[in-house]
Amino acid sequence: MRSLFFLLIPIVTLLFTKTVYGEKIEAHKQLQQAIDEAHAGDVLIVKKGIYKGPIIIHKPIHLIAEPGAVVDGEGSEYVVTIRAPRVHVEGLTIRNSAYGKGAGVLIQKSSHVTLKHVRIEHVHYGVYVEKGTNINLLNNVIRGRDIHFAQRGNGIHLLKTSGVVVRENHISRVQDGIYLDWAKHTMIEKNEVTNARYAIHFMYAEDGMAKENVLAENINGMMMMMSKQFTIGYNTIAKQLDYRGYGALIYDSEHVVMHNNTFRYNSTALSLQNARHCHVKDNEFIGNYRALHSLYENPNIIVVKNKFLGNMEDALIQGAPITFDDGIKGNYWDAYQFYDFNDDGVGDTPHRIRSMYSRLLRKWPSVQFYFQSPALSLLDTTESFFTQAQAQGEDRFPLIEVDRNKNETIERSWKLLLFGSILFVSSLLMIGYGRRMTYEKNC
Amino acid sequence: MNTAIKYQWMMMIRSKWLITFAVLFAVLSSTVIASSGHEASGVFTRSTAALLNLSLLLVPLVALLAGSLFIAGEKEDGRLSLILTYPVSTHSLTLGLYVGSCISLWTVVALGYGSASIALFATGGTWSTFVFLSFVFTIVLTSIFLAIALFVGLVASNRLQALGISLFIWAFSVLFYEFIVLFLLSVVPKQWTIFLFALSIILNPVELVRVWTVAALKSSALFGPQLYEWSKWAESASGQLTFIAIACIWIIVPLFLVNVWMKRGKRYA
Repeated sequence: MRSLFFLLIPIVTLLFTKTVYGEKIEAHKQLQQAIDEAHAGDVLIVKKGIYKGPIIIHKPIHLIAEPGAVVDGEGSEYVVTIRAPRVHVEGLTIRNSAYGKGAGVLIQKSSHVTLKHVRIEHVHYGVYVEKGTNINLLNNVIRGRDIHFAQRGNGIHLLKTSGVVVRENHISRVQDGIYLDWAKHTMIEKNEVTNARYAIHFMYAEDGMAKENVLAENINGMMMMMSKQFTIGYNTIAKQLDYRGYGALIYDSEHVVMHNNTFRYNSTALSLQNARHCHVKDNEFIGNYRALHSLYENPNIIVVKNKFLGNMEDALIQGAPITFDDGIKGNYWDAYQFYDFNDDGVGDTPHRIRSMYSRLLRKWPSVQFYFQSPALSLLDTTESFFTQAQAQGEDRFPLIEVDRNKNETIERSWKLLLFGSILFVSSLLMIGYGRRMTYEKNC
Repeated sequence: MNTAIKYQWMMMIRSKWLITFAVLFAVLSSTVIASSGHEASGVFTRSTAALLNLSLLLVPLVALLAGSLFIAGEKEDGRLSLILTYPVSTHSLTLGLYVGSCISLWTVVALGYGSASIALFATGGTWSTFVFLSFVFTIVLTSIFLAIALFVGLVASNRLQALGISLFIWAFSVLFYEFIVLFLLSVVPKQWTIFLFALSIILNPVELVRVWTVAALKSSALFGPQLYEWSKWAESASGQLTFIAIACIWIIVPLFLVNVWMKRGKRYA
């Protein structure tokens, strides 16, 4: 019965639909006027055209934009302000907020607001939500200005919110992609954040989930500070290659579950600094400069069933020691030379994480210059054979099997084959030609 | 000059020793890249480092040995004195010898990288700028060490001496050099660090190529926060140009010395 009622709403509202025709400049009055004149629950169809901002929505209406409908803030602080509950904005392009302040969309003290397929460009903040509940931000595109990140605002800024859903947004060229400031019950799903300072920034945030996001080429992928109760799963966190770059940094937070994430080519993939009661499980750490970094004390932390593959350094433990198993199973390490005589899938000897290089590094940080250089790699290898260096950490139950590339299909690269074949064949021809030439001359 | 190139190229590629090395290098590089997983992407990773390290270890050795032993042998057998009596200018003779040996060794490197790429393809790896860049930088490294090798071969009085000097230069530049710099690092004041590193790159072609590769892959975050400013510079166009300039100096200076030596030899011949 209830669902029937909800179905009726759009049918009823369609009867009261008004159409706004946009023209340059003059259209401003039309759009704002149309909103002012609309009744609660009306659906306004915004025709193609450029409308002058700022626009203030102060009653529960639906704003459905046709392709090419643009609200241009022309440097005003907030281009679109929403101060009413049950507002729905769809398909609109919003651009040009002020430099250094303001936002594309400000949602203030509202609830049940939805922004869908909205394109926000050339703004300081993208969407600024202040004291909102049950806000849905879906399939939006947010692109900031092409200036240094310190001068940009955040893509989506949630201040003192509850029940916000951020799904399938594409955010780039902002300071922080998604910023949770005292935000509760937040769902962040399938977003893509690139070219930001921090892709997702949690600050005093509580209870939420980040799932299947792609965070690439930012300074930090995920920055979690003073937050608790988060589940972070199935995210792809890649190419945070700045020297300050962390795939994810968990600082002074608790009850965080990191599972099934893929960390690829980050400067430091995952750093734990005063993280309490955290689970790090089933993640893939591939090709990072440093996979896991632990600083200060990280009590009650469980690191298990992760895969460490092709990282230059698997772990750097600078504070209190942490364990790499839960008493039954550990992690998969490609550096582990295993024996498994009882065939239980767990190595018979513990895997000790140690490296001469790490110890040198702590004494002289500039030794980093010789990361994986021929001489130091040689020293590291030799040293692992002959001495019992003090281990940084120990995995008592290292796993010996790895199921890689579950979701990835092997992609044949014909360019590679072409390159290889040209080199191979031409060098063989050269050798053959040179040798025959000599032979003929000698005869 | 063409005759000199052809002569040198023929003599070198005829060497069974060089062919053996070509096969060895091809097998090793294929094994390294095929067993390293498919992490050879556009950035510097452990598999990238493994292949680069293989080149940094082996290529200087073979370039030094092949180059110096060949010239020393020519000298010992009196063939060089014979050549010097021909009506060819020392310039073209020097260049001919150099280019000829370069082509032979480039062939060897190409064989190695060709088979490594095919091995990577067969194991499902993808194309990346690294494979190409690494090949180019190995070529640069070969060229630098061949120039040095020619000089060593000329200076040495016989094959055995050439072998000794070559092995010493190889061990010094590839193995001991970094430890010496590390030792100096622990002795000198902290603010000299960057200067010391910069100097160490200029003074050793192996270091030059190692750092250059990392910088060209835009992965110099690897060098850590202490060298941040320097890394940014190394990745920039002016940094890359500086690398090219140093590489050129490393090729030109030994060749110039070879030329001077040959001129002197010609006078006595």
